[in-house]
Amino acid sequence: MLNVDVQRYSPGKNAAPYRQIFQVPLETGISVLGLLDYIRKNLDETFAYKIYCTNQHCGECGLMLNGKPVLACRDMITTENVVLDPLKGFKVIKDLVVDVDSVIRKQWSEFPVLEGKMVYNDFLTEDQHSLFFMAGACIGCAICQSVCCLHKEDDVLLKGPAYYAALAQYMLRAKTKEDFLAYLNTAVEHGILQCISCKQCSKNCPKDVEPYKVITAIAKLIHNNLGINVSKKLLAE
Amino acid sequence: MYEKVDVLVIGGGIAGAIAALEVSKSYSVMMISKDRVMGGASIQASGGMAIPGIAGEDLSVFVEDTLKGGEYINDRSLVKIFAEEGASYITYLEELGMVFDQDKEGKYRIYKRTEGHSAMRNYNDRRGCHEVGRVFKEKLVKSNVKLMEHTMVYDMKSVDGRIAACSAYSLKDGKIIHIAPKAVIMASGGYGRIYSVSDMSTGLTGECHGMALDCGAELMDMEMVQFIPLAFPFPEGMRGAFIGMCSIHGPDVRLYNSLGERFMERYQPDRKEYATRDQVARAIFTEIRDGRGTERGGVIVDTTNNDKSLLPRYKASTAAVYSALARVFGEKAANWEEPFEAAPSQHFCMGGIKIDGDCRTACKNLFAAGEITGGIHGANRLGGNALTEVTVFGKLAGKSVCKEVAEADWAKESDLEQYFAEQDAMVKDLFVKKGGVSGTQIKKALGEIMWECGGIVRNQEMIEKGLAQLAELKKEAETMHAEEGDIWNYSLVEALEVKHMLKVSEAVLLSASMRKESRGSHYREDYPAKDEAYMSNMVIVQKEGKLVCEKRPIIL
Repeated sequence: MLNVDVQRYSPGKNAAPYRQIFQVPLETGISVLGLLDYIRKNLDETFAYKIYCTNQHCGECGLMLNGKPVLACRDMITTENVVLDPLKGFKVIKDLVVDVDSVIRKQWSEFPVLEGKMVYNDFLTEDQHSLFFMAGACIGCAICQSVCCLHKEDDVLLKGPAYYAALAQYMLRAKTKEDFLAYLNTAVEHGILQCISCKQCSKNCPKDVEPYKVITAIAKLIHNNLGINVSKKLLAE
Repeated sequence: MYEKVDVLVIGGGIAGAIAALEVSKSYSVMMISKDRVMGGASIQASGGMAIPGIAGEDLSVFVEDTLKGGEYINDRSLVKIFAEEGASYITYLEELGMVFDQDKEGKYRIYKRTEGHSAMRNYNDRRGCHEVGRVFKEKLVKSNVKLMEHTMVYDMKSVDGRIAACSAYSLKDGKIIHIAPKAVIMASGGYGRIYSVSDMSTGLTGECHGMALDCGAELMDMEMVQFIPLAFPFPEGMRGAFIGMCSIHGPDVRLYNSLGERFMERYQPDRKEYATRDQVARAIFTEIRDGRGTERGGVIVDTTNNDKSLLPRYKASTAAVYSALARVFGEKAANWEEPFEAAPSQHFCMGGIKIDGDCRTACKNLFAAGEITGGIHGANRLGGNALTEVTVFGKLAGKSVCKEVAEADWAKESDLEQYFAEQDAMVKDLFVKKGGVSGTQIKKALGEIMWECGGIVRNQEMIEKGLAQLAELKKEAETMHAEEGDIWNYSLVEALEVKHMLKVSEAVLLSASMRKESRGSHYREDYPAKDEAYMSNMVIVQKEGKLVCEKRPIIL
């Protein structure tokens, strides 16, 4: 039997979020999604959470499991007492559903539209090239944004690991040095050098994108190309 | 209140994105997606793309491979377009700004010959398909396409044989939205979630197939549903999730049943575990059904005989599956040191809406592209062909719509007002009804019926049992209710899905019943051989509210 403590909240209907306990006749070893589905289908059909691809590709099902950000389709229930909360740092739409999409969309609308065949540029080392390239596997689940102290709910400044990982995709494709330097400047303007090296983004990334490595690589490029002082910790990596 | 648009695109994957961007150059476009944009099955693809002609072979070789894979019931006119347009789609994606997995000299890092392809023509991306997604997301957020994410279209109407109106439910703001489009492009993917065990996204429940029938379009070869041999049999929440084919788990994978018998020797003595995916899926299904599965409903997959020097490459190319295996079965199982368990799962839909060479359906101003359509893959799809398909036909649909929408007009005001009022009333009615079962419960029962009666191994008795059970369920659905609530109401979503799921399931069973042979992914144990008399297409049409299956000659 699992003892599941869930945050419930319908903005507009409830004055504030409240807790609800569900006694669920299942054992540990199931996935978070298995638990969510069971509660909705058997105990309360009004219970809201977000799920789509079920295969760790769509990045839609991020939430807090016992205080840790996880993907519901990926992570397993390992304890009999389970605490579920909406993904920290985002506006709650209902129960465990948060608005990640408008943050992600806002980030993307900041980026330029690049067209034309990519040319392997020499502004990056081969290692940096490979690192930035693999960061293209980011699924936009925003777990790194959730754990990052730079990211704040409704922050007008676009900051955070997912933003920098997306920016890296542009550095990868920069055709001129001028463009490349402009992307580095964008990273500075968007607070990359305020990173305190807690590495929570890399530790929690469900896709092994290594956002912290991307951040340090960009910091190094900023240091070398723009001559801006960068913290020792960021340069040490 | 309703919104007028020139073109409505349903589906947030690659086909829909390309079509919407194409149309947005000249007309107003709304794009509705059940998930986030970019999403759909496109971003779920493992990253393999077949490129016709790239190995220097003649396009006819690609055509022949695709026809052979589809057991020759493909729509040949579509396959021809598929090959010709597909030959240039990599250049097209490159020009759109996609970064390919290439080395400094521009050579593709992973490039292989995939099952069923007679040439080295499959590009593979280590990042999966997120890069293609990025390319279109970047363009969509900056375009004038009106994006409606987390929204489901649940009903559509045609007047005098042409598209008139549709209604949708937006989860995020909890509203019912009414839309009057001049033309609609359906690009919303397959119908795999009519099965209880599937690795498809939860939203792929086939409502667009149902609505297409309502509007007078036809469905073809709906019985052609692809199953993968290996998926997680447990735990709760992961049942049906992708593990894949034996071939992606190394060169020496062996399958055993609970008696310790290497059963593939019995089914396919030559290629054993490396027979085609449907042959292996069928064998595993039969072993489990006949009581030779493991206690937890799978068979044993032994990867321990693989050459361990291949492990690093395996980890890199199957990262997501590798880590999922490690989480469920432990590190040793993921590292080829211990066996794990697996069972088959529904994977892809070859059948779908019947289209012509311009993506037109039988309903005027209704177009379709991508997995939602039928005919291109015939009875089975080759690996890598899905991504080629969505790119080629998404673009084609966009172009065709542009040609026809200029002469199209909106439906009459009075017709629209009446229809939308009916739609509002229907949803309210779902909230008021009490006592009956919920849509969620019906959906669950339906999934189990389809898995048992219309799944991997079929026979007449089971198909008829399935049809009878569907009829019962349809009656129950008349008094079905949904929990009241506006925002993010999955209970309402599932109640709205059920009507169409029942119809699509019936279409699958009717087609499976009429095809009294075994071909490609359609296997009948009462007719285990291929029969040339069935070298034809099964076409479903809706006449006076009833589904009728017609056996028609293949399209040359």
